[in-house]
Parts: sequence; C-alpha cells; structure tokens
Amino acid sequence: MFGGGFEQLNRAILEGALEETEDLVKRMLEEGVNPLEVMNKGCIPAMEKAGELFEAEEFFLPELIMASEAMKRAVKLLEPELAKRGTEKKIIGRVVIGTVEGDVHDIGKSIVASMLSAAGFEVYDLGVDVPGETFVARVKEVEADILGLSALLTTTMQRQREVIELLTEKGMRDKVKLIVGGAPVTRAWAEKIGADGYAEDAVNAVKVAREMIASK
Amino acid sequence: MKAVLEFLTKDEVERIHEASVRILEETGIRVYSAQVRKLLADHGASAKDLIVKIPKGLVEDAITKIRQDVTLAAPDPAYDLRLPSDDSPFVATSGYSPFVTDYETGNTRGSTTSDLAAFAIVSDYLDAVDYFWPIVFPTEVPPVLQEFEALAVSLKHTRKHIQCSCSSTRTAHWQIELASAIVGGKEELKKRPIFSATNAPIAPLTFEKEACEAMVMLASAGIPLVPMTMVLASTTAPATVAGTLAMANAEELACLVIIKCANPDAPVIYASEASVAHKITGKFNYDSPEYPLLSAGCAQLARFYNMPSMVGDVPLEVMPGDLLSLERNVLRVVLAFLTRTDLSAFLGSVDLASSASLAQLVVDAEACEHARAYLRSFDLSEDTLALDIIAKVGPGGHFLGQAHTKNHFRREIWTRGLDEFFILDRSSENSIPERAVAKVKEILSSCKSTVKFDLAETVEEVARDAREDLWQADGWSFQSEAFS
Repeated sequence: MFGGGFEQLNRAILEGALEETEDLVKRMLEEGVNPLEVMNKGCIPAMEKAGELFEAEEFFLPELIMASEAMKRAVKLLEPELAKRGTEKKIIGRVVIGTVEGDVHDIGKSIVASMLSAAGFEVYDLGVDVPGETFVARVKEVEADILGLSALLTTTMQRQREVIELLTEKGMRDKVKLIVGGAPVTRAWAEKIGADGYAEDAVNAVKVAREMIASK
Repeated sequence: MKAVLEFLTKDEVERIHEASVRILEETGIRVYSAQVRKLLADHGASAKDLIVKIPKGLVEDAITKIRQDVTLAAPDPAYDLRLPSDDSPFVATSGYSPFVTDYETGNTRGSTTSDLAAFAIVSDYLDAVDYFWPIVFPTEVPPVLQEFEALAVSLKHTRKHIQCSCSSTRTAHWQIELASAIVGGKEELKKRPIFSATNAPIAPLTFEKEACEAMVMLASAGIPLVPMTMVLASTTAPATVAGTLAMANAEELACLVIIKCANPDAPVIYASEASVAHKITGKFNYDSPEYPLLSAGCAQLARFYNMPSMVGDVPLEVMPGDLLSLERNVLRVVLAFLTRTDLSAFLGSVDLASSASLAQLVVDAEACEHARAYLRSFDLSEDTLALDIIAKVGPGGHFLGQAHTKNHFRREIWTRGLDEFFILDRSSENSIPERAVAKVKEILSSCKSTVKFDLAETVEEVARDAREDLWQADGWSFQSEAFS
C-alpha cells in the first residue's frame, strides 16, 4: 500500500510539479487507494492551502496558476476512476465563460476558467469572439449556474450589456448569474449593465462564483 | 551634455534583436486577417493556418525602410512636432478610457463627448501638452462610432496633433476621409498627417483581424503608425526581463514588417508599454521597478533601428497632496524621460488608465514641466569648462566674486523651487488638489474655442456621412485598396 502519499501529493500540487503530481496519483491508483480519498485528502487540501498562501501574499499568481494546473492533471486522472465506482467528482456549479464578440483577448479569461475549474466548477470555455446567441444557447444546453463574460476593449465591453439584454429577451435572465470582467470593466459598469457580479481578477472571480452558488 | 538612462550594453541590444528575429522566424505570429497573411506571404513570409513565420531577410528589409525623421503635423502648423525630439519628449494625455472621474467630486462615471471636449480644451491650453490622445471615449454614442467620434471631437477642440486609436477598417477609412477633408486631400495628408494612430497587437504575438487590416489601411494612406507592444512579464511574456524585451521587440518588428509591406514609406514609431504583470492580480503594473528599465531597453532598441520611439509612458495616477508627493511624481517623470523617448503619453489618467480626471491632467502637466526643466542639456565648451577662471581662482579661493559665475549662474543652475509652480496658482494658500481644481475651472471658463470655425464645419460635414455609414455598417468590414 502506498503510504504517507497524501502529504507528498499535497506538496507536489502546491509546488506545481506537474509530472510528479501525475506519477503520484497514478501510483496511488495502481496501489488501490480509493480515488475519492485521493481527491479529498491528496488534492483538495493542496488547493485550499494554495488559496490561503495566495491570500497571505506568500504565493504569487504564477505559483497559484501552476498549482491549479497540477490540480487539473490530478483530477483528469481521477475522474474516470471515480466514474467507474459511480462516485463522480462533486461539482460546485456549472460555468459558461468566454470573451465577447469582436474581442479575441484570451488570456485573462482562460486564467479565470482555469482557476474555476481547479476550484471544482464544471467550466465550459467557449473561447474568444463569441456571439451573444452562442452564449445563450450554451447556458441553456448545460443549464449553467453562472455565465462569465470577458471583454478587454473599451469598444467591446458594451457587448456584455447586449448579451445580458439577449438573456432577458429569451426569458432566461433569472436562470443564470452573470459575472463580468476584463481590463476596462469596473464594478460600476457591472452594476450599470445589470450584471450580478464583478471580479477584478481571477482569484476574486472564484470567490464571487462561490458566493453566487452559496446564495442560490 | 545630456543624461540618458541606458539599460543594455551594445552587445545586449544586438542579442535582444537577434532573439526577436528568431521569435518571428521560428515561432511566428498569429494573424487573424487572411488579407494580412497574404500580404506577408507575398513578401516572402510563410503562412500556415493563422501562423505567419517571418524570415530574417524580411525583417532586415523592413528595418532598412525605417524613417528616422517623422513629422506629426498639427491642424495648426505652429504645433507641428518634428521627431526625433530634442531635450525632452513631446508629451500627450493618456488615452481611450471609457470612464471619467469628476474633477470636483471624485465620482467616476461613463465618459461622454462633452468630457472629451473639455479634456481637449484644457490640453489645448496647457503648454506641457504637445499632442493629444483622445483621453476618454464618447461612450454615449454606439461603440462602432466611438473611435471616429474621438478624432472628430478632438479636431473641434484642439489645434494640436491627435494620436487616435483605430481598431477597424471602417473607422480607419473615415478617419482618413476626415483628416483629408481638413488638410485638402489625401496627397496633402501624406505630407501633413494631422493625426497618427496607435494600435496594439494582442500579446503575445497575435494580430486581431480588423485592427491589423486598419493598420495596413492607415499605412497606405501615409498616416504615422504607433503600434504599441503591451507584453507583461510572467503572463504574456516570460518572467524574465530579457525574455520580455525580446518579446516586446519581436511584436514591434512584426508590426514594422506588416506596415512596411503595405507601404515602404509609412512612418512608424516604436511604442512600448512592456511591463510586469502584478504579482497578485495579473494586471498591468505601472509601479513595477522593472517598468522604467524595460522602457529604457526599448528606447535603446528603437535607437538601434534609428526609429523614433514612444516608450516612456509613466501614468502617475496619484494626486499629490503635498510638495513631497509632487516631487515623487516629478522624479518618476524624470526617470521616464531619461530613457530619451521621443514621445510620451500619460497625462491625466487614473485607475490604471481606465478613467481620467481634468485635475489629474493639470497636476501631471505641472510635474511634467518640472521634469523637463531638470533634464535640459548643457553646453560643453571652452567657456563652460572655465579653465581660465579655475586657474584665476586657484586652490583655496572661491568663485562667487567672478563675473563668469554671475553670468552663468541663472542660465545654468536650476534655481526654481518646486513650489514655484508653472501651472498652478503660486499665490494661493490652498492645497495642491484644490489649486488643480481651481485651474481647471479657470481654463474651462476663460477658454474660447481656439479652433477655426470653417474647420469645425468641415469636421461636421464629414462626420454626418461617417455616422450614417458606420452606423449602418456595424459589423461590416471595409475593403481597402491597400490589399488589392
């Protein structure tokens, strides 16, 4: 039996050691450790610790993102095993996210998607330059709890408002919570266009998303 | 004699250049425009899917076509700017914020046409402002019109050169039409480009379709282009200063190649806001100590290519409550100016340039005037070396009784205190922020429009057609002769 591995796995995830994380998870599964236990004791505490360190500014953004990447690698290996046993990963909520039409800025949105995924959300990243209709259709299809709209240009941030209007038009506005973000976007803008939340950065996006799910 | 902040040795400049060339040749750029991919391929680049790899020879060829001397013409020729600049850079407002911070209440709201007009009027008045970036967008008009309106409104309220953003071909078309109508035709506009255009690739190494097609269209019309790299160490560039410089320079060279393929004579200005991502938020970090060093490195690279530059933007964003914090702002400007950039656009922004304030514009201009004074150049001559006077005074003597001292003192030595303001009211007992607000009110209440009536009429005539066309063509891409 693989002994004392959870601490080692915690450390590997915290350090963002991708290959080591994968090796450890694989060894645990080979040795018959319950995948749910690997998730609950080996992975989730590591991400919680990463969050605490980040809050305390002992961890910086690159370290947090690397820990998230390691977490995602671990989850990818664990998910099929969990499914085999009929115990699926606990999903906090479903998020559809993308950059609005006319804007091909990808990175900020992808970081948010990655952090949400590592935090346990099921994330549907629609990419960049996404038409309003596509957002609305996907929200309906996956019964999303949250829709995240990113815009980096002052000229495209107005599209966020259009998507919200489209949701209202389709009678879906009250079915999904809306978070907006992007460099020119502010809390005042979010309020003005009737979004439910605004996140200044990726870490806050996760916080806001968690709060939204908790209040549902 | 003049001070220069140099960050790289000659050998390091060459190594960064070589690294950038390799990035373009081996990694390539992602270009969303089929027309621009074809333009590059026709000139020898290899294009596969969206990725275009630019051979070294094409980069070197573009470098040979750089124009060192560039004139940024102004609607009033008295305000023409000739690059390279002399002692200190030409300075502009910051730009393109969707919000405005009320200079009296401090409240932030969406910016409008009348806000932009007020900024243009105050900028026209202030000597410290050499050219004008439309600092806020008129957000009450539809997004498709905003960049065009920004130029139109600015032209109606300032006599100075305007540097616009332009992210679509249709906007480019109408900006060119507008400026042509004012200067008397497209050929005349090539000689007297009264506006230039900024345009930023999406870091890392990505060119959005409409924005890069607009760049080609503007280049073809002879409009000076100011493509600005905004790579950030650790998010859109490696977490190393050397790697970030190589990436920034690669993006600038890629822009240069695109522009020179479109028009070998097009004036191009090397522009960078390469910096470091904030360690927590990942946002642009203007306060990073690496930022002025990256700017200095980019200025050196621009000089290496004999290219005018705009690399020393230093958004101050702090309203100085006292002389000590004003001095901090002055020294930050000095550091930026020491890069010897030719242009610098930073006045008036707040909240990481997402908003702008008229009071901030005035105090930033004040800091700018002090910084310029500190950085003047000095003569080195027989007279200023003063060997005869040194011999005359000899060991143990003093220079106070010498006519040479009296004659040179006020010319050579800076005697003006920080509280001897250039712009703010010196006689007032009020705080610096209060004096800034008073100055804004004074300018806005006393300044009549300085723009000639017939020019404003011309702007309005073109704007009527432009509005109709842009509004109808929302989402429609304009086919340019530049690609034919």
